[in-house]
Amino acid sequence: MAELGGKGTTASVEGSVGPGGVPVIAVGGEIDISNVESVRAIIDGLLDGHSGHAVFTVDALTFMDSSGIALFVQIHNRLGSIELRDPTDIVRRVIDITGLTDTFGVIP
Amino acid sequence: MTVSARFVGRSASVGEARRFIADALADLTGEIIDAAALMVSELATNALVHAAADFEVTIDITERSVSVEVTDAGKGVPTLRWPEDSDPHGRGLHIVEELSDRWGTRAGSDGSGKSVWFTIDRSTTPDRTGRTSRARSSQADPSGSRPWRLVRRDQRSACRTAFADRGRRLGHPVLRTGGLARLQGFERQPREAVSIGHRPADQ
Repeated sequence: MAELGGKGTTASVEGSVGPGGVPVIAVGGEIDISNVESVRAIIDGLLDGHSGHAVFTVDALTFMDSSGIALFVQIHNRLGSIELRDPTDIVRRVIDITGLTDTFGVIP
Repeated sequence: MTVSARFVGRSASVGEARRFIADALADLTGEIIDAAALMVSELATNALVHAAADFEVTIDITERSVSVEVTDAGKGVPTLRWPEDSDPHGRGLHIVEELSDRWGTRAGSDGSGKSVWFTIDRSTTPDRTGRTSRARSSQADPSGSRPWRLVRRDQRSACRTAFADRGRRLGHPVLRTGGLARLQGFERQPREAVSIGHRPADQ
């Protein structure tokens, strides 16, 4: 698992492979402007060479602002389809407000 | 009570500003703390991206409201944009628009820089207003899937309700899309599934 960030905003990223070879990436902690590029680099590495659907389990993502939205929009643009599983209430709220609930698959 | 703090113009300050406001509002509800911290995160990020300089966060807490101002030396007035789904940027102010009761900008007092401020009315938290489950439902499930999960009491928040009402009032396109159909869908759900949002004692 990659731990990203210093004493302030920290995130964790861990990749695995789900049924059918679909990448499953667990993202936890917090995402803001201070660590989003590090998170992006790790995720890009995990998805290297992959195209198509990817699953992000975000039940341990306790905070993200629009920096996190930008991250997932860019990943969605690249892959064409992503799924965010089990978002925390605040992450769900940010996705709802920014109008991306239908663009991302948000489950549940 | 008014408190303020100055933060150096680096990205780590955004998280520090969130922690500053969370500490300052520690006696208030979790919904207000979460909303205020999220909005400060957005405004601090804007200050860094557009002004690339130090910024100051001032918090004024009264019995009625929480007002927060983020001041930086940058020029230009932040404005709401309506980005395409594929545009990664331009959504931060929508978060402020939806989670606050009022927000705005003003020029710096010494003629340079600017402030972006927002206010959360403490009286509009849903525990006191007892808003209907319709408002909650229409906001709670923009995707139309799993409504029973999203209206669970522990999944709702004061802010979700507050911005559902704001969205209705403002005709927010994101919230308006398909809202009526969804409301009708909710009406057809078993009562147990839709009535959780009601607080009969408040009505």
